[in-house]
Amino acid sequence: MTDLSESPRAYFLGGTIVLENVAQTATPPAPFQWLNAKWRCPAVHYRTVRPWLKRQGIRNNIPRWGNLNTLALHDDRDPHPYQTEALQTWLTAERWGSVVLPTGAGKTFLALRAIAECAVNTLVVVPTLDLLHQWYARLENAFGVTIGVWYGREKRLEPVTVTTYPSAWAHAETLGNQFKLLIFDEIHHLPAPSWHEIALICAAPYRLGLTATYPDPVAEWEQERLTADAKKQIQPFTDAAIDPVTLLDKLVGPVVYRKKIDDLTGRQLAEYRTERIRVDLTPEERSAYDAAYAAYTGYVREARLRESHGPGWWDEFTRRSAYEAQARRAKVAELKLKEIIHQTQGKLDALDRLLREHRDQQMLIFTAHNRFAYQIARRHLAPVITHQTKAAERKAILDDYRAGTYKAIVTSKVLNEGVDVPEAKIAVVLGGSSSAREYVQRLGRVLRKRGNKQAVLYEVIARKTVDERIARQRRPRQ
Amino acid sequence: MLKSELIRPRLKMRDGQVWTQSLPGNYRYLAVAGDLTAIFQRCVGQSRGKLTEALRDYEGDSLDYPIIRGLAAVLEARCVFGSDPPVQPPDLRAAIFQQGPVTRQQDLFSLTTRKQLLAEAAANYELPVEQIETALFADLAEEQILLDPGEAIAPGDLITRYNLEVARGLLYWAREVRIQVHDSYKDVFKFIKLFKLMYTIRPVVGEKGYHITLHGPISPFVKSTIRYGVQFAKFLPALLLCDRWQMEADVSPPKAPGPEPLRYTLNDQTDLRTHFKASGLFDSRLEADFAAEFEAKYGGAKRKWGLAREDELIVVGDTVMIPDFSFTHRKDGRRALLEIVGFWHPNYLRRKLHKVRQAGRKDLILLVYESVNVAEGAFEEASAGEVLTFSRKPVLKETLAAVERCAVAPTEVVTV
Repeated sequence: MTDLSESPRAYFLGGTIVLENVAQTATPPAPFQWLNAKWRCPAVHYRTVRPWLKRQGIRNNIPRWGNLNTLALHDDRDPHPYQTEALQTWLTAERWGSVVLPTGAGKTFLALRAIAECAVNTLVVVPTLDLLHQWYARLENAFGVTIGVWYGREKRLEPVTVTTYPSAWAHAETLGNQFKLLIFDEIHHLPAPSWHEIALICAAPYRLGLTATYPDPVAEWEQERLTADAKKQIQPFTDAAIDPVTLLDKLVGPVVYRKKIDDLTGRQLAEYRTERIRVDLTPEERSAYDAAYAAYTGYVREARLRESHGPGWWDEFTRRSAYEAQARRAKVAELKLKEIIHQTQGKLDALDRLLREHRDQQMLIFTAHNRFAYQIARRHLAPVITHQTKAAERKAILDDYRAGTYKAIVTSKVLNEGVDVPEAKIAVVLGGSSSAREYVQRLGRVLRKRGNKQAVLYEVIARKTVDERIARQRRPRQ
Repeated sequence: MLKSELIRPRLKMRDGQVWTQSLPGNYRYLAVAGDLTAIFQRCVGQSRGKLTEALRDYEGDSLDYPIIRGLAAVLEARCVFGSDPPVQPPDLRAAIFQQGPVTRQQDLFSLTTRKQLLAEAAANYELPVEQIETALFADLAEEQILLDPGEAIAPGDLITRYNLEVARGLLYWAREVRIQVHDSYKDVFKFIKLFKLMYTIRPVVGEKGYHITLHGPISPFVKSTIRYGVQFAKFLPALLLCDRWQMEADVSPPKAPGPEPLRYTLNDQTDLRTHFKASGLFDSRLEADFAAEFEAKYGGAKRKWGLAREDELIVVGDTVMIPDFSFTHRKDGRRALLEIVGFWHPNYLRRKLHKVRQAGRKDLILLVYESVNVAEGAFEEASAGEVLTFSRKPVLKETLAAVERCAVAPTEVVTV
């Protein structure tokens, strides 16, 4: 009688490959170590140990992935020659390694073709939620199948799933043996402490890294020092002792294709004009604001924070507010006054007027906080996108906006960096931080000159408040 | 389990050590705990957003805000929030917003007002306008309704629980946890297993008890990782089920003074209290009856063997086995272990026998309920010690005879 429970087998356990019923006297290949009474190795080595398992007749219980024979790419765009070249090179390199292309050169499109070519369960790992939503939309449009998303608010696995680095890190044990192809978008983030564990823990034998800014190899003299350090460690993988390039080589493979295409970069910013609308606080808002402002500035002045701490005074203020009653009171006052200026009645009235003036034009409305965004959505019955908006609804809103069904979208900070935001003729900024980078990114992506009609950006500012200073600071320096 | 931002203000670090400040159950904090409980009670039937506002109002500009938020988070975790809108909010939004946006002020070109749109939707869905209004964003966390604040909790108990949660939270940043336990092995391993931790075990020298190092599957392959921190945190209350224990963890909390991990130690003198339930002394009627009968017939002052429950671990590969009983000779200290296998499924018995064979312990006796399923000769090769069978209930006399034959001095535990 053959007892299945005693025959040799290999299985996936929390990011490792474990050999069951294989004696200590066996001689498995190098990555395996005899630990806790079993042969074990990190799952990343699945690709290299699989032939050995096969030769030894060891039952392979590791993969939980499948083939997607019916997966078809619906995208009739012709690939650029370099995209085809990159794909072929990666396929030839045993589907193991990174492709470096400049921003805007169509890395996502390359990835879609790689997925179609492999036709296996695929996990795409991206740095931000915004990018997750963007990939979700691209994948669903390209393949016409339900795409899985796995992040804080939604956890739904599908044969093709998108996740973020933090979620992949937290759930690598669950995701690790479900996907045969692993795609890392913006792979230069992977060598960060902890995050590289995602690649270590996953068993996927096919891996594709994408980036425009691959980490630089460490200088030779430094490499020697690092290698010497690494040799002192028993473990093959460490957080610090291996330089990023070596780490990526081991976990995802080397750079298999690299192209610099200068003329693809530097998209022209749209032409637009800015109009500032100043609104007054209501008498009630004004008195509440003045009181809060006095409490806040009074403390900062009295404690002489600017004098004693220079440019770092703000951090010092925040630090003190955790244990000093005066500072805490000032901090609460500061939060209060921001709340007043970010959602003053005057801004609502101004928006009402703008909506009427631009009735026939597509408009994007930006707020500083989610709460205000929802208040506006409720008031004007317009769709809203925040971090709470789930992937499917978010995609539907953006699609319908592009199609013209929706005339306006309200959003807080989520439509930022690196995301395809639909074009708009009108943008209304009701509040936001003073970060110039955020400001430029929002506008450059949004406002496109169409025909000879200029796009318009409205900045609505609460008069005689700190809002004026914040607005001034966020303007890009020419 | 609290968010890490609620843990950080409660940490103290000095001389390579880290610990959590315990919130005293004094007049001041008992009052805060009572007030917060009352706010939750008052907000039943209201939205999470309203609850949050009420809590922020209560907090005001108090410097105790990390404590107040922590206590509130413990209360919030006990609550049931929900909403049951008569129409799916995303569908409703799509339907209404496609007609928007509307404006407050009307002019020549305004086709519809907000009121009209909502009335239209109400008519379409055959619902009152107020329900349309609430359903619109009913799927947002802030709009969920507090349905049930959970079982009533006394202010003192809330503080106790909060202190436990803060202590657990420090383990979020733990790289490795080492514990020493002297009892309650079954519960300890039940929870180690439940929280998917791995372990290495060695006996404490010179007394009963074990050193257990807790880690995860990937730990041996990386220099250090905090990926098992949340599992350590979940496990901590299980350790508090033990009477005698110590814990030592290497922790790297944010803003630690240097790159070296800090040491976090706890022991059975702590004020922390667990909310986990200890399992009963016996797992089955069979075991309870066995112990009772033994005490009645062979117990008392003149007893030859002392009977103890689950007081020894046998390491089998990467798992442990905790035999149900041990027998210790009153004079010479010889010991034998007994595992009772009551009603079983063939697969269960096969796994058990496999494990026993791997353990290879001469002093381990297996007492198996005899059934027609037992294959002839199945047990001979199975055990290094002895296998006895019984058909109705375990026979004490035979068992003690086997104990007599198998027992060995603790210094010469033999594996074959």
